[in-house]
Amino acid sequence: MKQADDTEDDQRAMALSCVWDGEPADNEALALNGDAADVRARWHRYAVIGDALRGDDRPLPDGHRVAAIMAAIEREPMRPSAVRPESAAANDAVWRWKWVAGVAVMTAVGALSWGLLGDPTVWGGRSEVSKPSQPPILRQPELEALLAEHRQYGGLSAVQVSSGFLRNATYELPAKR
Amino acid sequence: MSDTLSFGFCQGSVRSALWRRCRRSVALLVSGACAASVALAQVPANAEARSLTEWLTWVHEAARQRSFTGTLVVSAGEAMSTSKVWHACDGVQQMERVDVLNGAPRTIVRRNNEVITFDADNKLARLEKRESIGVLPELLRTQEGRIADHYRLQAQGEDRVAGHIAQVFHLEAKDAWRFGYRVWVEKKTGLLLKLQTLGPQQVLEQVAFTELQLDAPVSMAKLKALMSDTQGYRVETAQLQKTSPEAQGWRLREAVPGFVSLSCHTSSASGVARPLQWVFSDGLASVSLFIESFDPKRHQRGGTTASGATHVLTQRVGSHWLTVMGEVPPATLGAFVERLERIR
Repeated sequence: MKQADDTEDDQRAMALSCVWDGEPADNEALALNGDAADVRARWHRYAVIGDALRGDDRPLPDGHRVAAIMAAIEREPMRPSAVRPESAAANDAVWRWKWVAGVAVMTAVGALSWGLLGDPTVWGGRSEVSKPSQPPILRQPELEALLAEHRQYGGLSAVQVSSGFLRNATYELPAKR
Repeated sequence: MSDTLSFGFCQGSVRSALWRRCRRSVALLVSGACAASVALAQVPANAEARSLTEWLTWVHEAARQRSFTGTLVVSAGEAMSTSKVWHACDGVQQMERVDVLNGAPRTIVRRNNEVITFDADNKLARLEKRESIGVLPELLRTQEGRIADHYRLQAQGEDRVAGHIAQVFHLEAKDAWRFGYRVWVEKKTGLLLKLQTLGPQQVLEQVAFTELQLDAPVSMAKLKALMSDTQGYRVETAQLQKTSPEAQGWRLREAVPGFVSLSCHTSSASGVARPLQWVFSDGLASVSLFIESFDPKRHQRGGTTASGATHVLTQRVGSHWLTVMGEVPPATLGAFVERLERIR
């Protein structure tokens, strides 16, 4: 009996969702007997979620209501995707284009970044050390100490004898001697 | 097709409009970059009457003749450091104070080549002599021809840095053994305001004043007093022993073009020997070779890495461990390793 109630509840939720998406709703499902308060709460929840997804700049509901919505979302049964109707939501087209735009922008940024960074093979073994599994070897304290010594006792340039000192003093790591 | 049509999402396919827009943006950026490249290429090589050596001397002397205070920012890779600096000079002595504003609080004071670093956290004052500060002006005089052999100076107009009118110069590397630089110097005095180290395709490191007061009333007496005020600090003196590569059993089979040996020393810290440090310079860039005995517990992985313009290569060489680093391309570090020989 509990299982039958759950199924009716799911059907009613699906019908409400369809109404929100501007699709033909299952009138029989909408007509199913249920707790009016639960239907109102669900309707309000869909309204808030819809506003948030559209990015409408409306005042957010109070914290208590948000907590109630989040709790309701927690209780929402997970459905296999096959149960969802094949018809797309009314705003799917918008989201699809946002996705396409995102991919396009990432592609453009990627192309530019590649142009800026150039061919990694030019840099010899740098690609090797940039593998996430290998931490940069400069993090090794001993190497950092040598870097500090290089900047102290080498690391100067004729173009910046004074500024070179300032640069190294600004940059150098605390001594690890 | 007009811009209105090509940008209008209601015209034709939204997908194609979007791609047209992306393509147009990329095309604008690429054409902008090309235009910039052409503009640089059009600067005559001899636009500036001064020769490279005269120019370097002018920039070098500017820091020796002028007092200033300012805020200096160094950005390299993901790291950025800021310091407040005071510089005073009386024609004979140069004094500088650097208060590092990020990370561990520390103050560094220099009088000519004497440097003291106050580590406030550890109440430690470290005294040392940085002989390279004295060596480089000499290098500039003796190696002047060599610097011009490897770098070309081009004037690139004017800009404004930290509120000062600056002349912009490109120190272009003539070969792939070194990086080039873009330098902003104060128009009247020649004081260096900003310096970029240029990789093959991007800026590797920047040093720039964000605020600078020229001819500021910096008291040399106060800086001297600060340098000797070590009360409450434990004073450590860096123990450096000058040596020669040959005495340590090393030599370069063949010089790396433009780089000359500048110094070689050993050092110790708390009774523990530090690696031998052999420093090379081409006048603008420097390379340090650190050589120590191979220790399988500490030296597990060789490789290359970088921090801003400073590249690092570590490698086992026989029974020794070699760490080579400098503001040069990785291939230059590789040449040092390849040419290093054990002679005993």
